[in-house]
Amino acid sequence: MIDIRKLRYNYPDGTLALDSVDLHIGRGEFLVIAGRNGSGKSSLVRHMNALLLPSEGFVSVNGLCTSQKKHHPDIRRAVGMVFQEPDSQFIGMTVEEDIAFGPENLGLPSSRIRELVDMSMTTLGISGLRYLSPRSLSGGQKQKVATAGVLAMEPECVIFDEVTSMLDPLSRQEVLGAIRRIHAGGTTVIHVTHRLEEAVDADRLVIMDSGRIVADDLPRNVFMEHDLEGYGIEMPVMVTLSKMLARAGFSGRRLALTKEELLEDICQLR
Amino acid sequence: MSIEVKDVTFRYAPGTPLETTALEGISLSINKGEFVLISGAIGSGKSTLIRHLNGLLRPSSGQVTVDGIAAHGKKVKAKVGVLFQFPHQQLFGRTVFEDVAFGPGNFGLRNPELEKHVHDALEMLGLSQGICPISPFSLSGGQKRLVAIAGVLASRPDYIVLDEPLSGLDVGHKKSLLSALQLLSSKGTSVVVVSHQVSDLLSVAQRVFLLDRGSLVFSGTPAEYVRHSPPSMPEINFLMKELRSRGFDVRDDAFGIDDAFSEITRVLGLKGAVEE
Repeated sequence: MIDIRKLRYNYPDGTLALDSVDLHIGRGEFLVIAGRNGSGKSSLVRHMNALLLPSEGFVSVNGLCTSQKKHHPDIRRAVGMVFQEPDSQFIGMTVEEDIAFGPENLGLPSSRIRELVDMSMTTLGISGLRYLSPRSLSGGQKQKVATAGVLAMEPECVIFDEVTSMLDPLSRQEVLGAIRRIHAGGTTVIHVTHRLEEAVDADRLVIMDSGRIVADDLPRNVFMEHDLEGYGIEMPVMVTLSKMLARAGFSGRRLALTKEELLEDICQLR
Repeated sequence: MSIEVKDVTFRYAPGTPLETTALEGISLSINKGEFVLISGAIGSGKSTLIRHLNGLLRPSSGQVTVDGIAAHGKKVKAKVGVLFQFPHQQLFGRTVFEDVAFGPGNFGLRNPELEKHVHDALEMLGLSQGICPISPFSLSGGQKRLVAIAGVLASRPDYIVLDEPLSGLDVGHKKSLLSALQLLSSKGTSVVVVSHQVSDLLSVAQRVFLLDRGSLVFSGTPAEYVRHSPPSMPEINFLMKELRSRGFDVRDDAFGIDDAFSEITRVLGLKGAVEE
């Protein structure tokens, strides 16, 4: 659904942000993009809904090339984006109004708008917040409202740009749960993060460094074959522990990605 | 030399129907050179508590003193440097230098000392001096955060209080920040970090305070904290706890990956335990 070829992007001041990036994202994929601060992940995803345009190469969404301005409305409707700081995106006085803003702008009939608003609030589990002001909410709740607003536009793909990085562990789990539900509903999901624990159940893990893609594979393969510390990202703690144990002669049958997997392996060895 | 919090209670909107008690009878002290972690869920009162340490909030009852002086006094401002949760919102300078120099400049420092303070602060955090002339707004999220922290360090306060300084930092930035804070504390500056990223901080903190709904429910060493089974426990400790509950004789105060590794290799009788 998203096709990126030989993408190169320079910031307005001339610095190279992305260098010969090739990436093809299929419909319904759950893709995680990770990399250190400044590695180009945000610049990359901003090309996927035409917020940034390539300096060289091309990006297309559903076959529509982002460098043609006439395609932007269709592209942005197909690919929605949730940002790290949702505050700047809120418009409505109440949560409900805020979520309805997008579909209202699409000129949908009001009965359909209501359906979409209810549907997205249910998916995110925030129906109880309906009449509150978005600004009065906690960080995690705000992220869910912002996500519901994007979801109400029925995008084919949703990009989450570091939405979990400012959240406490509990809210993070809730937001991640919502992201998984959205993916399970058939939406393509692109999740940008630098916490690799959030990538263990993704279909695919892409690692970026200095504006290039340096790894693109199943998460388990990326963890096994790459030195991620060298790219400024931390392995999930269970993966590191599992690797250390393997070096010490522990014969688990695989690289454990989660606490549950490692626990199972240790118990089997007893 | 210490910060003393004595029986502090704080209520928002006292005397109105909206009155809420944010802190209830908190007593604690933070000693010179100590590295302290304050943990607790959202809404537990962490941020309200640290706003008392430099007098931004005054207790409804009880008192806070810094080196014997009431915390809301003007003299305390230079002693206690505070960095809030969204430090990039605290940036405003046209250049990184201007931004980092603002605090110490305000306390009356002039060149060449001012320049030295700025350079030392940047260096300590592993930031290149080359970023001095550029706009802080053109930096990446992690760098912005470090620049904001440099602004606090440059004033060389006796107490540094940081609210969630690790969120949004990649592993390299995280390591430089943690080692800078350890260095400061070893040189006698007290470091107070409020965070729910407990796993990164347990190995560097000397003492942990846990808040729950406005009350101090735990105070002790990191090892004691882990044994206390707090709600925000690093994943490693959940693993160790599970192992214990399945009959493995692993220590209940192990934290950090190295502890976990040596405990697991020990109970499984792996040879590698000795070599590593």
